[in-house]
Amino acid sequence: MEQPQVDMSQIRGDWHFHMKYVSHAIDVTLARGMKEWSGLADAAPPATLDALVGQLSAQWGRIAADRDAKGSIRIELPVVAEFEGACRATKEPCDAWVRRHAAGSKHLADVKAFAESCRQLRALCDDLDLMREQKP
Amino acid sequence: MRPHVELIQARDLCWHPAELHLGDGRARQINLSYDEESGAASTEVVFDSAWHRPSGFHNADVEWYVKSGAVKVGETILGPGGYFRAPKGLCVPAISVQAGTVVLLFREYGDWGFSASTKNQSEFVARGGNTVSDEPGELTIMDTEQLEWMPNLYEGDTQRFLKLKLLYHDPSPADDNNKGFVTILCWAPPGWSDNRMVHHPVFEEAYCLDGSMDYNFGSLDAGTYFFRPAKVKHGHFMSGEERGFTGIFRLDGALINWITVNERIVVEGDSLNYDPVSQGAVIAGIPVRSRTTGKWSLDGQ
Repeated sequence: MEQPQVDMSQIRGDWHFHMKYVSHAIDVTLARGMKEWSGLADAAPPATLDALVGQLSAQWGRIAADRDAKGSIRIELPVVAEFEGACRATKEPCDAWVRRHAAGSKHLADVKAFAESCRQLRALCDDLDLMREQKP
Repeated sequence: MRPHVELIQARDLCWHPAELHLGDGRARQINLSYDEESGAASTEVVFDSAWHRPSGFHNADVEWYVKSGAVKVGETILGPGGYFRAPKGLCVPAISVQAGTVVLLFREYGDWGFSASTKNQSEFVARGGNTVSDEPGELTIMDTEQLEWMPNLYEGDTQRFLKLKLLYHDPSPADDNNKGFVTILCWAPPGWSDNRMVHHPVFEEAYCLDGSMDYNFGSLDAGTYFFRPAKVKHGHFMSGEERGFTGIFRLDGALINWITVNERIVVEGDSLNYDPVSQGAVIAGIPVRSRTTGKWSLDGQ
């Protein structure tokens, strides 16, 4: 018997339901990252990351404040792409910062936790791309 | 055959001497799941002292995931998030472990046996006990904390939003979902949900490393574990806020999601000498639970 197949390339159901899930996940993960960042002033944070964290916070604030009639963020706005670019730009400075603390620093666990929050934000940016591609 | 364990909390379980044959040092283990036929097991091992073992090969496919501390495999030092896998019969370099280290140790298709050696057990070592590959097996070593999260490969729909790190993948052939093997880390972001019930053609096992998730068998939080045999339904997922849910998953084949909606169970019969409400029989196949996870609500039965 032929088995029913799932179309791996598509999400199904209500686009707005999924969009609200993605923006909520970013809200929560970004807030956690900001909280971790605020406790890392003594860990010699790189200036590039300092600038990126400021951009992320401001960009997401603008994105979250401008929603459509159904309460979804406006995925097509240029600021969303800019936010994704800033998220993805955290990889190199985060990796370098972790390496710098790798040899027994008392800040290592906290730096790694922040780096993981940034990694998770980068992963969630893939979902922003997906939602943009599949917007009805 | 491993029993259906769903859901237990590791700290509820008793300690056993670690099954780390030919190792020098003190270590103990919790048995999360144990196959008394094949000797396969999933364990959490605590090294109470520094520990060392010479090079050699195992009787089983073996995977280590470092929860905390440090493990040296040959010249590679693995910290938290470190992972290595060796198929049965493959010569593994000497291993040294720092006192206090905690490791999740999985073995499949064999028991705890280990033979000191500087060579493989045989001229050809297979990729694994469930492989169809003709390729020789090899040692896999990685620092999972260096890996980026990738989208879920395995399905569209809401599960598309899960994030994976692939630790080991022995692909299933197109005509047999029950061959091959997959070991992954999975992150369900905060607020992720799936209100369906699913089952797979293969076993699925997971240990929660971080965060939380509610589902039909209870609440997954750090240290909880399940081993779910093939074709057992599960679902009604809701990932926790702030951190989401992160776990290490193992599957003995292809992760195909078969979906059930509007699920129901009908049990019929007339009681002769008991109250069916307060004294009714339980269904056969109630999974193993531990005191922290408590009784199953029977959601998704």
